[in-house]
Amino acid sequence: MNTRIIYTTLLCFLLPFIGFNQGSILIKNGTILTVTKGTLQNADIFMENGKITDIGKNLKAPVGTKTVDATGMFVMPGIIDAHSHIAIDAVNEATSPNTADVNVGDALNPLDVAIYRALAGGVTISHAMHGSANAIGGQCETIKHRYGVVNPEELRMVGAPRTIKFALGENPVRVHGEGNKISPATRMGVEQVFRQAFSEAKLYMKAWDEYKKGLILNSPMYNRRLETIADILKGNIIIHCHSYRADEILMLMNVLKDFGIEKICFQHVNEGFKVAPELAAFGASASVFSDWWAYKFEVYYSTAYNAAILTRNGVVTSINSDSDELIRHLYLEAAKTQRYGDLNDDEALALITINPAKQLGIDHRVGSIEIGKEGDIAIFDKHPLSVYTIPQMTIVDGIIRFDINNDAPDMRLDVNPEDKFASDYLEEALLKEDNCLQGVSEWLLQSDHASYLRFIYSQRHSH
Amino acid sequence: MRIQFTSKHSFFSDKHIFILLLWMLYLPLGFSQNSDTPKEVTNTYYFKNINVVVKPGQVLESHQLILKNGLIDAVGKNLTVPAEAMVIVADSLFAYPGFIDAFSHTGIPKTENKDQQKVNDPGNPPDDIAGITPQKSVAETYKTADKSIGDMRSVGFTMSNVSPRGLMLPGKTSLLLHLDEDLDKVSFKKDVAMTAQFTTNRSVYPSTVIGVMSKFRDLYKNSEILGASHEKYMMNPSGLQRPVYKKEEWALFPVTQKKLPVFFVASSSNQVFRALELKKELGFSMVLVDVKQAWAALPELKKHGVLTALSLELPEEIKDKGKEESKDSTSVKKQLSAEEMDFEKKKVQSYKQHVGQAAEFEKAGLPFSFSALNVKPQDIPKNIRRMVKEGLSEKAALEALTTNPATLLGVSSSMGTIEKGKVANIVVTEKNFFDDKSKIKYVFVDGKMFEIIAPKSDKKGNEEAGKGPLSGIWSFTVEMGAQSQKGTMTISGKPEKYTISLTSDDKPDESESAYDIKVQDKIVTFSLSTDADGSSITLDFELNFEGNTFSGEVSANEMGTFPVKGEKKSNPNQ
Repeated sequence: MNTRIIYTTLLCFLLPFIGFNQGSILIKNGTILTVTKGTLQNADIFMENGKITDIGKNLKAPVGTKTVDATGMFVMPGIIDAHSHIAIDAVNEATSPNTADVNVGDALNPLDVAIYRALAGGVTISHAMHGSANAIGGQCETIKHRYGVVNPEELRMVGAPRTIKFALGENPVRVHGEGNKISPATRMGVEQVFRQAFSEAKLYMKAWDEYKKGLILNSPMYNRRLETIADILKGNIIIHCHSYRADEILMLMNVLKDFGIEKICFQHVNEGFKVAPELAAFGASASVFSDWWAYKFEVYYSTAYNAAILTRNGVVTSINSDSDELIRHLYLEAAKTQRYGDLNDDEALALITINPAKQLGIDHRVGSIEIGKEGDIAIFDKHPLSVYTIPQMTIVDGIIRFDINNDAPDMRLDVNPEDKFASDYLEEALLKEDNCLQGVSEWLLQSDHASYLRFIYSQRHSH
Repeated sequence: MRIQFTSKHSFFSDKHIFILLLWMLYLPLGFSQNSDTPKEVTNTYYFKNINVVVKPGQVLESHQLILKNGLIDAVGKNLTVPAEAMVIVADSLFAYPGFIDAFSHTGIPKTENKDQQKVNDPGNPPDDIAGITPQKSVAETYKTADKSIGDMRSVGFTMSNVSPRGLMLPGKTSLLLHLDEDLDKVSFKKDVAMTAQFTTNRSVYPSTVIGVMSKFRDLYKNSEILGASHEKYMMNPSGLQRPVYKKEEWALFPVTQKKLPVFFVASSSNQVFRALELKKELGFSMVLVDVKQAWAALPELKKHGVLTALSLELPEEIKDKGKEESKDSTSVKKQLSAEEMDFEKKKVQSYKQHVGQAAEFEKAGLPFSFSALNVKPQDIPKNIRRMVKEGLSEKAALEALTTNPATLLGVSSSMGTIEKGKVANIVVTEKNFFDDKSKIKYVFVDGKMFEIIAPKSDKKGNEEAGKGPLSGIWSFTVEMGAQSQKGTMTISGKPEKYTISLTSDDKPDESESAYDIKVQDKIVTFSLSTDADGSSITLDFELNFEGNTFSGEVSANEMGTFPVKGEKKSNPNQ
């Protein structure tokens, strides 16, 4: 009994240090695309307890270490998606123009099979974001694709900086102005949401400061929304702002200047090419689509050269998915910048590795293949920028999470025992007349009286 | 009774009344309670030769048991029969301690569907519309002799920890005895726990799970501040502004003081971890209820000392595919694809995990109770036996029905076992309760006898065996302003045991079947729970059938009510 208690206590004590989610692995004889330190031919990478500890030729690993033969293959850093909505159960808390208090990290869903599908496209990290319904949306969560874990906590990339979603333009105006008949009803109103929030947060900080110093006796009330905005003012949270039009991008940079805020990454930023020097001067970064536009009025003035123009102007630029489908082929999205803008291999690969890492404040840990960095690796059979390439294996923290040679037909972690059909056979099943499928899904929810809810639903996984 | 004296017997003099009152004071408790049920001739029961399950794991075979005045009077051999006792010859019967349900809405009917009050700013709604009413209790909504009370009693439950219905923070629970009497008489203990759940009014803040997680923390912190401000003011008010009372935060203050536990509805795996996250962060004492998927969270639950009330609802039994196909001669036997085979394997594995959850808890040495939330009461005995078949010991199952909830709810000195001096809550069964053929014969609640008449079941005990007039496949259309939603509704079984399932044409892959199905003439009401954005939502249907068509309405929490209509497409097996 006693020994058991001691053992259990010891285990509880040691668990956080050992961790089940770090592994050791040796990759042999691949073409290593480090992204930041050039390309190495026929080289090995050794990862120990989740970290890259050695890169070079003819590396030896302790007996029993898992070894992967990458002869003829291309080994690159795990792909990072700076804009995604996978693995979360809620995207928009669309009830207020400012919901800085909410955090999609509270709704992580490690059972989402989209994580596995992203892994099958070489993506090891994604930025799970709040939606764009509100001018100030919720906080976001940088997750590692440790598909197989069940505890949502284990999906978090612990130590990654806090981030928050902002949104400009049509979405917040339509949701709140048109939908709820409240401010913001115009683009001008959106600006005021920011100015008002920052001003209120300053007063809030002041009230608490005075209370803590004993200058006032009555305790102010706690306000999570203002706490978060205050943390932005203190520089503890990186803003990721949904944006399209150049004028609005300039507007937000002016607002931030007025309040002394520096950390910002513009998302989508389709008209970024018009204000690339201004973005570079501010130190703002940009996360764009390769060639996706015209899905609404404010997104017509766009170009596939956006990423290249931004890059050439010195803006840290990434290419994102914002979609659980597009996330599976970000390497091809990056490759398009070689056709539209002549970026070289390292520049193109940087768009989906080290650059998104910089935008998320995790570039000292991931985003390139360097000794000391975390063991997030994607292996391809051809060069990842080739249209013929196929991802072979994806490693997160030294653990193989996707292997094309060990890819079960149904990779879902959570199957409802009452489900009638395997997912891919639904269509076929529907053709049968006598099938009485069960299920009332979200159909009622999409169609509330209030038009905004309908809109939000349609916007859940778009931009 | 006092009312009777003053109204009907007003001719009594004050002296008479005084004597009568004095006489009443010496009356045994049971008598005054029984006065409402004149049919009852005695409040003393003598069981001759009954197998007394004193507590889980301890059976006294062929003993005598006496219940008197609402209490367990004696258990033993060769007890004399009290003169006033009703004698029940109980050879081969079993007496169990009355079952205790650790969490449900028993006795709280669904609220009337009403159009939602207009909220001007959805980001800042009144607390009651947002579903934040921790100050409430069951008092506002309890319905004496609601059907659910008799339903629970008929499957052996003598008491439930009853929560008001509602959204995120619906209010405080009470322990209610399953008697058909008014709230004061059935209340055993008030303010037992604070209910919390991830359910929201989807049109106002907090509308999603992320909103609930944030709002919970906000309320909690402000409750701490409010409580501390009041304490500070009580100590020395000089120079301080008078702190206000805010009813919601004030009601939560005992939670922040760890004097009132939170009973968190956490059905899915993700919900279990989310509730745990709040508990770890804020430090309140917590019990998880309606738990359906917590096997992966066992080490965490153990580490943080979180107890649970596991859901008594289980997935439908998986039928043998091979048999089904051989019956259907018209269908061409199809080779299963790799994905389908994998899927079938996963389904069986998932089924075993769900049904075997209680056994896993037992193996891990973590005591648990049961919650009857959202389960059809008539399924409960069957479901518990399914858990036993999946590895749960009978002793642990019985503990979860008796001693564990008694301890969890702080009533173990008065309930949970058959011991002298405890409340006479007893379940009497033919055969061992875990025997498939066992039947509940009597349930005693607070010493009152209820004879359980088993519902007439079709011989096979099989839902498919019967056909009701409404059985068949129906189309339906829900009108929502300019939009409409179409789908298919399948009704099978007999009227007293219909099963209903719905599918929308848009999303046929998510399965949801109806519960709380009630049939009254041509009016059928039922509910569906579905998950959206991480929070659950309940859809309440009320349909009026007329020949081959129906019309009615569906309400979605407090979002509003929408008209539904539909018609019959085919009869079953056609």
